[in-house]
Amino acid sequence: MDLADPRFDRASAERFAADEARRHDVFVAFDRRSGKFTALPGCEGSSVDTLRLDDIDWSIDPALSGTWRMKLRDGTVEVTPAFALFARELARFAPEKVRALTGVHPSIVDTLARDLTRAKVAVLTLGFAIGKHFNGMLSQRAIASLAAFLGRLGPEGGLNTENEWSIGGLGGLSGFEGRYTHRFASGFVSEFMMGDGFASPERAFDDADFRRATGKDEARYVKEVSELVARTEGDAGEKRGKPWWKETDTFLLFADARFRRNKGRYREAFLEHARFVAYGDTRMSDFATYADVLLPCTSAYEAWDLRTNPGYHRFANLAVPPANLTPIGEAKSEWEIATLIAEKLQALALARYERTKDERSLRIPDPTHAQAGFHPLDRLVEEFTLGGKLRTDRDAVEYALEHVEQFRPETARTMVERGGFLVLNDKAGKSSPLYPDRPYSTFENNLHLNQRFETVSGRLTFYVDDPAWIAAGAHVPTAHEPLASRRRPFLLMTPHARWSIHSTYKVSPLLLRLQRGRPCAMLNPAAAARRGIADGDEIRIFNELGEAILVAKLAATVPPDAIVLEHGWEPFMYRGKNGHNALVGDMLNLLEVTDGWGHLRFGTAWDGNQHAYDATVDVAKAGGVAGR
Amino acid sequence: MSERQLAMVMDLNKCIGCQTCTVACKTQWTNREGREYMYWNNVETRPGKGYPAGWEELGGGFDGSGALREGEVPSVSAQYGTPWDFDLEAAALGGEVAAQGTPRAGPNWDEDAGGGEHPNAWFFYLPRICNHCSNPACLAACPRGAIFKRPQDGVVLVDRARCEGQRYCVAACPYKKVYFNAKSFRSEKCILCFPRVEQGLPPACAQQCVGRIRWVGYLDDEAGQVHQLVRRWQVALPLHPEYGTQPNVFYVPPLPGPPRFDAQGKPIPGSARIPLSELEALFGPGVRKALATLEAELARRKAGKPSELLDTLVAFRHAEMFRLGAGSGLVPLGRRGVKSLDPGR
Repeated sequence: MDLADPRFDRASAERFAADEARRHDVFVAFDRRSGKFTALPGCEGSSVDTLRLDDIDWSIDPALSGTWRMKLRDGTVEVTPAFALFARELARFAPEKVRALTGVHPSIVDTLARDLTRAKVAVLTLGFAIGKHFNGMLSQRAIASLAAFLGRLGPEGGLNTENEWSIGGLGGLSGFEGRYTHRFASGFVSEFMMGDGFASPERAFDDADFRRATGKDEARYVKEVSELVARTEGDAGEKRGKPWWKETDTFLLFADARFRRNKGRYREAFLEHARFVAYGDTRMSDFATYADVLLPCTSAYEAWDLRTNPGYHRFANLAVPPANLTPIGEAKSEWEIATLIAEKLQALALARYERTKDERSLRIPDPTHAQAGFHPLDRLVEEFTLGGKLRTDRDAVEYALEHVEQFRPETARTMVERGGFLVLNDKAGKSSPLYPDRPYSTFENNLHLNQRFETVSGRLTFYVDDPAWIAAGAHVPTAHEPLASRRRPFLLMTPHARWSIHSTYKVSPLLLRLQRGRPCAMLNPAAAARRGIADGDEIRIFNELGEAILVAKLAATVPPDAIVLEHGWEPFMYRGKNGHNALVGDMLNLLEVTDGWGHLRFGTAWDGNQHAYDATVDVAKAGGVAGR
Repeated sequence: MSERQLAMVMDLNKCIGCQTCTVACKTQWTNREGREYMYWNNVETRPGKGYPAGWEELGGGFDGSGALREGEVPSVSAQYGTPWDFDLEAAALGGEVAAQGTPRAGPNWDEDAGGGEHPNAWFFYLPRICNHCSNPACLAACPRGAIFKRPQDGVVLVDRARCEGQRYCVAACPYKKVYFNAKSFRSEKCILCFPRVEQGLPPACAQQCVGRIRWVGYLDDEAGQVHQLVRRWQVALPLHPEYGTQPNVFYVPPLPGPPRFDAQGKPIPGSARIPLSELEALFGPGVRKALATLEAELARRKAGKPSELLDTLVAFRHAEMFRLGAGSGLVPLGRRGVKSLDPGR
């Protein structure tokens, strides 16, 4: 037995020493009260679903520190509580070390720690931005774990993230009563593979970058990631991790400006791969200009819509088309368009059947995702519209208002009367009650009712018992260096925009006139001066993957080693349609691709993201020469 | 002087620079008929050139003796910014989309650029409308007597029948909040949404403000929050009082911000990110007292004591920010943007 192997730190109690010690869903603690190891209630493999440490049948005082000897079937080992391992890892990040790594002065760490501890309510809010760095996910996890250190949950603070409301009853809109299951692909893996993602890292990063960020050389890291991704391809790989389907080459997409968003050579790779693209949108996005068929959609304020928001606020907003609305051209809502397409598909299938009398005209085989083993095209419209009940955007909104318990008792009329919104009722709280007269705070149910968290330990989980995470030194919360190359002096930061919602409204003249009318990059004045760049100059930012032409805007608020460029600009707003994302060579993070341990199973709560902040660039006056 | 004076207070500590006010005004009043370049309401980042660019250097207002100072008429292309258009059809045909003309200036040109040096950079937003001054330089400068103050509320308006487009008012306004419409050949300006005010509704910029930074009411209404902030607490100050026009838009100055970092990255206790001299240059010597009052009230609140001033500034109830006579307030929710729910579908 290798005692240095941290996997043994989560070994089991004596009474689980046989089979259950191999189960990763049973967690044990050393109970200081009894002096013995005991299984913890509330973990995934526990027979009880409460987190209570004191109950009629048990009273546990778990050791959080120290080392303990545990007798296993094949010998005695020394074990350490996961929390103590976490504390040991934290000790590596003493304030002076943090200062060397980040430039943040120790006194600020100290102030922050005191403020978080002493504040009456201390809430940690985590958004997406940190995850835009290659190893940002690890930092997010470390930040989230502070909630445990603070001992704050519920009304005293704790962690506030997204995806909080519990809203049920919408399944009827797309569930087909269980007759079909979705091919639910992992977004970041699918886009990476669709965009020939493995072509970019070699040019964007070097061996030193990989070693710094992952501890492995580039060839080995890329090989390990590509092997993992290959396992999850297609129907056969669907249950093995982050699924993606290579064979998808015919697209019906709505409002998905994917050439604006994706990195590296995505546009070229997509166009090489795609056979046919039908695209619906309210506006002419860059992606729309490449579509084979363009479907004009009514805008957000011209269609019926009900917008809920995952966790940011407790309202659902209703959009109702204005009275006497004249649609622009042939614009229709996405619901209507989809219904019309379903009708056309069915009519074509029936016509072909009439012609050939071949049953295959009416049945698309699908042995894995259709209960009947096929999709019946002669019943497509009936199934798609729920027997004719769901044909339009208005139908969908009314269905939702009727079927979602958390919307009751509101109707479209009462929503209009109060100004176009409803307040979610008390059923919408997921981990806490949603009080009508108090701010919502997460995890009250866990704190007060001892309900288990949706983690394998049932608790805030510090230890990931997965070989890849252990090998990466990430079995407990930690921080790793970024992958972004140090060959170029500026980190390209592309945060969410002020003047658009991603790329929506990006080409609005009204809003462009409140900017500078074209994509502009914010540069630190001193850094710009060293390159002879003045405010308003046309500049090119460039690296190994390409270049983009923009306008320089000098801003004292920008760090000297970064270029800040609002995201969302459509490629067609750049010269040569060379958008800035072509300069970003992303690489999948092995830990984000890894899947299957405990609660780290692919789904809406465990997927990865693109690393938009992985690129470093240099900058020069357009036509000029770079250099200090 | 008018019989009563309507005034606005803007709390710069709450302005997030979202420009909702700008867009509300633009779409209501100035997106057509020669007004395209005008922003009766603009929000500029300070420090910065502002809108029109360098407006504080263009003269106007009154000197110490009460005489009009010389002023300039700003250039549309170089200082206001020509409202550039885009050939969106080009995109549909596979081309590039670029501004027609070369943008050189605009109403929000220096957004978030700030002053100081990283990591001690600083900035704040300054929303600006016509100040509806008690002593308007535009009125004094007009040779046609075309500019007047309404007696009932002091709103400064241009009489379009009398205006001949001579632009003395544009040059005379030290805030550069009178604009020349080359199409109608008239001067035009913020009208404080008087048609809305007459219905008891606040100006569009104030109603739409998502940060609830704007209060509107009569200065002599002692129970009103405008009076309370300007006269009683004296935390709301006029912009550039030295211009001598007696503005009726008042600003709660921004608190000095977080402390500055020293060369080692350590916060310097007691230091201020926003230089006091910059605030005094904008709002006059009353800034010190106003900031002291704000900080004292913040300290009270931090100590768990009540603060009427902070309660007012938080603006818990939107409708209470506007006192415009009997029946004033906000449009009832059900009447806002009423949509058709045809029963006979």
